[in-house]
Amino acid sequence: MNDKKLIDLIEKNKPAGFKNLVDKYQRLVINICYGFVHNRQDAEDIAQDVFIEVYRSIERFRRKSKLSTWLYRIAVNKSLNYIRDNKKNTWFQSLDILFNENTNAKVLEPEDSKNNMPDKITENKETSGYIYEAINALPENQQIAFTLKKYEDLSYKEIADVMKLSLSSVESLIFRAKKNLQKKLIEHYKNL
Amino acid sequence: MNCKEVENKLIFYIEDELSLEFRETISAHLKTCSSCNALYEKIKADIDFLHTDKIEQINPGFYQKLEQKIKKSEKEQIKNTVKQVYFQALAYAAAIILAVFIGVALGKEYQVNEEYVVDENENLSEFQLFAESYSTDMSSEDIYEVIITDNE
Ligand SMILES: [Zn+2]
Repeated sequence: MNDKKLIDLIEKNKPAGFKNLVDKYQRLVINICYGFVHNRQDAEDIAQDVFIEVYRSIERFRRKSKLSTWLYRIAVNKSLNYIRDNKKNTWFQSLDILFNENTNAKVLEPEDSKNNMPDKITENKETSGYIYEAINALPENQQIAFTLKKYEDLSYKEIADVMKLSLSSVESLIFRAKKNLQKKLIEHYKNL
Repeated sequence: MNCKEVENKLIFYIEDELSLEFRETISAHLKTCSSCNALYEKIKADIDFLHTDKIEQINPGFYQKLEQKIKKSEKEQIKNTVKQVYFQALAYAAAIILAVFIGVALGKEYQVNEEYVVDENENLSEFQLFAESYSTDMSSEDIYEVIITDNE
């Protein structure tokens, strides 16, 4: 079903139209979220929030942009919010550990972050998993552009629409993202 | 091309984004330089991993779970609307009661003021009389005399 028919159906019969929309876009949305959080369970949870927001605000979608662009934008925003909230939580947790002497003086060690690593990495012996760290360390706009390109193989035009940037800005962001990743990976592997 | 130059183009070589000329030069370098080749192998494994690192199989309960969450949030929304209406009604009732109380209190205050004004007038008139009684005005002396004669 094309997007125009999908929106028409939602206007006439919201539950049926919405089910069609989820069926069509769930894999794409989950994978965008996964591209940011690198964890299957978290990606599915965020994707659920994305579709809940879509359900609530679909009446406000005025067909000005492509449905997929609108969905991707919500998915990117929700994923980034999730990452920010998690960073805050880790920060508060470390504060808690610092100030609470009763917690057996447990200090955050590098091992802790390894425990949170996604399952894929333990399965995949070919890669060190450092690539995730390198992507997460990118400036936010570079991370968004690179992730959309790598995980969803979105065209530069689509990425530009999602990010509300010009085509040349997106090209430049992805170029710089690759340069930065290359630098980080080379430094990392040389120091092993 | 030296090692540094190869390193600067490695990711673009892996992504196949270089001109034929650069591609051939780097291929030749990697065949003879083991340290660059080792870097190439590792970074290529990372990039290849990203290409395959996708969720292909969606949890079959995804839509069902989503449906439940939406129903739950809609119920909560209705509850909140009911609550809102209820609180609005309460707020209106409270406002009316408050208005009545203010009205009654103002009414009382007004009455008190009236009494006070009356008192003040009485005080004033007594004071005037008192003052007049000490004045050298003839008419007040007459009154004084009248009062005295009245007392007698
Ligand atoms: Zn070399």
